[in-house]
Amino acid sequence: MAEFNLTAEPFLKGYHRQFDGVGLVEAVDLRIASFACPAGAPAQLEAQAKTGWGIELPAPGASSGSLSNQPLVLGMSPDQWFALFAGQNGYANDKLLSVLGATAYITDQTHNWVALKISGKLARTALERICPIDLDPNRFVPGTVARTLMEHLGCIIFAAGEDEYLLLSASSSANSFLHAVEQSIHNIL
Amino acid sequence: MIINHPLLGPRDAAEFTYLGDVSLINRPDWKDAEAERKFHDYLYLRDNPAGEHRELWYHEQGDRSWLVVTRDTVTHEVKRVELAREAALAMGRGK
Repeated sequence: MAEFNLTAEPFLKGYHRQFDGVGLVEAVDLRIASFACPAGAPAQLEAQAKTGWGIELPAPGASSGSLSNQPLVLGMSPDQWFALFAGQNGYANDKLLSVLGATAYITDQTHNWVALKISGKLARTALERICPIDLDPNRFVPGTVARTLMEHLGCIIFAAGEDEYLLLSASSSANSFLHAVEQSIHNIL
Repeated sequence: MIINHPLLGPRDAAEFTYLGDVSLINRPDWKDAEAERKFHDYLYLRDNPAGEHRELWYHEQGDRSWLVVTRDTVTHEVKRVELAREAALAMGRGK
């Protein structure tokens, strides 16, 4: 029987470009899984997250942990979170299963999302054109996350730092999303 | 139109989809002796008030929550926004 070695290719082929004041890079090293709380059993899940990761599960719009001290957990709704791991080894759902076990409903999301990192002193200005979320640095502080629309495409925006944002959108429309963000950058330069 | 989400703050109405009257929460019991008549009323009979109206909105492009929005259909003023799960529990739904 023939043996095949398949190598996954990034959705945007590892896109990276430096504009004047804005850097735009495809994040190709993220593993993502979502987990949800079974009805009426938040205490067990919270306890497992506390024991396994040493973090409190964040409220919607907030985050806990970090990519360097994995995982980064994003609060998406009252009963659902996204967990992000850096690196290309292993499956995100396995990483969650080993800690959360049966206390959560876990779904691997890695290949559903394309991730773009946008950074630089004009990053916020570029995003303000297409993002309906209030990105005022006093309101959308580092660590804040929101799920919204940009150019009619659903996306998640996470404030990774000062003038640094991580954008997640559906991998099936990755090129359209990149085009929307690029166009927004062109419009301010 | 801006909907002030109880958990997430003000969000553009474009992130939401509209379902209809909040009475849709009160789905009849299919085992009820008058289930046929009650389901007919549930599906087809709606009030159409000029003024305050409670309605179900879904935050599809947000946290995927169902909300009960109290809106004035004359002025479009949004007077109150609640999580549908809490509104449903207050109406005696949910076990």
